Amino acid sequence: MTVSWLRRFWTPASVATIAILAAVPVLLAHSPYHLFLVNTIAVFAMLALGLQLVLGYGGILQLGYAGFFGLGAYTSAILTVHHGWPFAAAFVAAMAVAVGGAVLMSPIVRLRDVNFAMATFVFGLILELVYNQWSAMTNGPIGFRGIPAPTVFGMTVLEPQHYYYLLFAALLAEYILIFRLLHSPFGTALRAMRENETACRTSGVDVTRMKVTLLLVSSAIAGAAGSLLAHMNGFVSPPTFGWATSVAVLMMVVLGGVRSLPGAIVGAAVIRIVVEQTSVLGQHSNIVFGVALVLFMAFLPTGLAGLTGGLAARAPWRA
Amino acid sequence: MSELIGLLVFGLAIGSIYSLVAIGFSMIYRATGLLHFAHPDLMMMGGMIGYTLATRTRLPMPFLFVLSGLAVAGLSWLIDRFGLRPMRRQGALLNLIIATIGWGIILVNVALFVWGTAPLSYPQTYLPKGRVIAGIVIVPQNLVMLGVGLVAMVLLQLFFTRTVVGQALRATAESPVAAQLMGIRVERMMTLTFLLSGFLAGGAGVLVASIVYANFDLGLIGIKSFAAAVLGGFGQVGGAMVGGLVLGLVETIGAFYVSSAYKDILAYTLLIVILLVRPQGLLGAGRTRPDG
Repeated sequence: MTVSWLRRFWTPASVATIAILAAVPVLLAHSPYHLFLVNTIAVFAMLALGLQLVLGYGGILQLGYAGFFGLGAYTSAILTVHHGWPFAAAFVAAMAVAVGGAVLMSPIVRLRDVNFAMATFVFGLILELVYNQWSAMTNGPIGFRGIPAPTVFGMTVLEPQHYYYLLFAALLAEYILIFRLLHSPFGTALRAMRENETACRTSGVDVTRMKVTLLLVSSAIAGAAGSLLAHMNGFVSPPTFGWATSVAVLMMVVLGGVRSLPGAIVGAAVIRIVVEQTSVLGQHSNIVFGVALVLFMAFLPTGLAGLTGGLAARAPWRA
Repeated sequence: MSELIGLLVFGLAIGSIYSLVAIGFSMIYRATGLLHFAHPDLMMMGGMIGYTLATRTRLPMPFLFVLSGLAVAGLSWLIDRFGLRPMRRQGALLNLIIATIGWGIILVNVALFVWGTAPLSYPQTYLPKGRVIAGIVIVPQNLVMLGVGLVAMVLLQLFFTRTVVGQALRATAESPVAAQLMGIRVERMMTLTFLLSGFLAGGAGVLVASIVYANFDLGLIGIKSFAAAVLGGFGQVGGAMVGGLVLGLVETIGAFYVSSAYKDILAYTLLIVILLVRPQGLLGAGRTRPDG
């Protein structure tokens, strides 16, 4: 069993991709701006993969995802700055707090479709409000400054090309975790749940427990991504963890294809680059998202991965 | 005591806004199964259009309400006709909901483009000064808001219960398939649903923008009408009305006695609790919808 998913994972294509991605900092060594962009993409790729697990593979609409991203970021920031925790401990705590938030939210899995989406949306709004209002902890709308660069194995990761490897390792670990999950009996049950929830329940699958698991795993991922973002930028502020970001991550998943793991990463890259490019449009850059969301839903609900339909169907990464 | 009465009036006034938006939101949900995330932004558009009308024409409030309402009804119809209906045929509810999020973003950006980022105040004539009557501070604007809101709700209630079209609309919301079998033109009723809910959202936008400000982020206030709709059981028109008023009261009184910084958190937490313990809403009987 273990061999089978590994064999599916290590294909020539995946090895080549990993090798190219590992070489990115060398290629971009002289362009700090592009390195920064790539690092940001990596953080958002983590988020996109996490949301994809819930939305694409679980078939449930989690609209408050950025809130959990924030839980991780603020936990890590507060623990390292105010309590002098080392990065590794704060990182784990960030994931734990995000999972705690998800546990708090988990009763809503009883709700179906629309009510569930509504509840997650509102949960996200509540978290964003807390980040804004609880100034004693989060420093409110002004933002939280002075988050230290992380120290890993005794080395302080200051340079962006070094930070890249930290992010790369996290992203790869997450990717393998999700890949593994999808190629396990859990993944099979997930597919059954998505296709027909009632039939799945009748066959003795504990659908509620599966949904809770999805929420918890995806929240842990968001927490990890938040912690990494906080230590990368040294600064966090509430808008990063609000509705706009939830929509942006949703857009990444939709763009790449809701059920294509590499698609989520491609989606994250495309959206971040579009954001950078259209920032010259100033406030109107978001309209690109709006129009794209509508057009994709109308004409290409399977995302970019759907374009390559026949090809992707045979590709090794299809779950 | 006089303070409390002032609070109650304000709570009911803001609540009537929530009600108007929530009614449309509920109607759309019942008729199409859709969470219309662009609905609060339609309310915002009403406030913006109302601002332009107010500064250019100085028409009295009720006219602003109706004209902005009509304009937003048109917008709402356009979004449904060209942005949602073609997709509705393909099914996939989640995709439709995501598309409405896209429409919300588009509306916000259109507002930014046309009216800019600065909050805009309605001309002073729409904001008469508060008067003290028998020791109670009465802000006329709140009374106007409450009055217009209540009149609109009474008219709606009559429309839904006393007219054939209103009953056909309710039947469509109840069960599109059964309604179709009874000879109701469901597609037409859905169009009417979007028109009517757009009208209410646009009118509500004028009311709220006239006392707060007109700005692209006004939709944030409209979002609370989601909570009102849920309080009212997500679907019943009467429920949405009561839900809006209850939410307005709870939030205003909570802000006064507990904390104004946390009043939104209070409203949203209430929403989640209601979803969990009484998905049929405050007024609903024991019956829960299959998706509740």
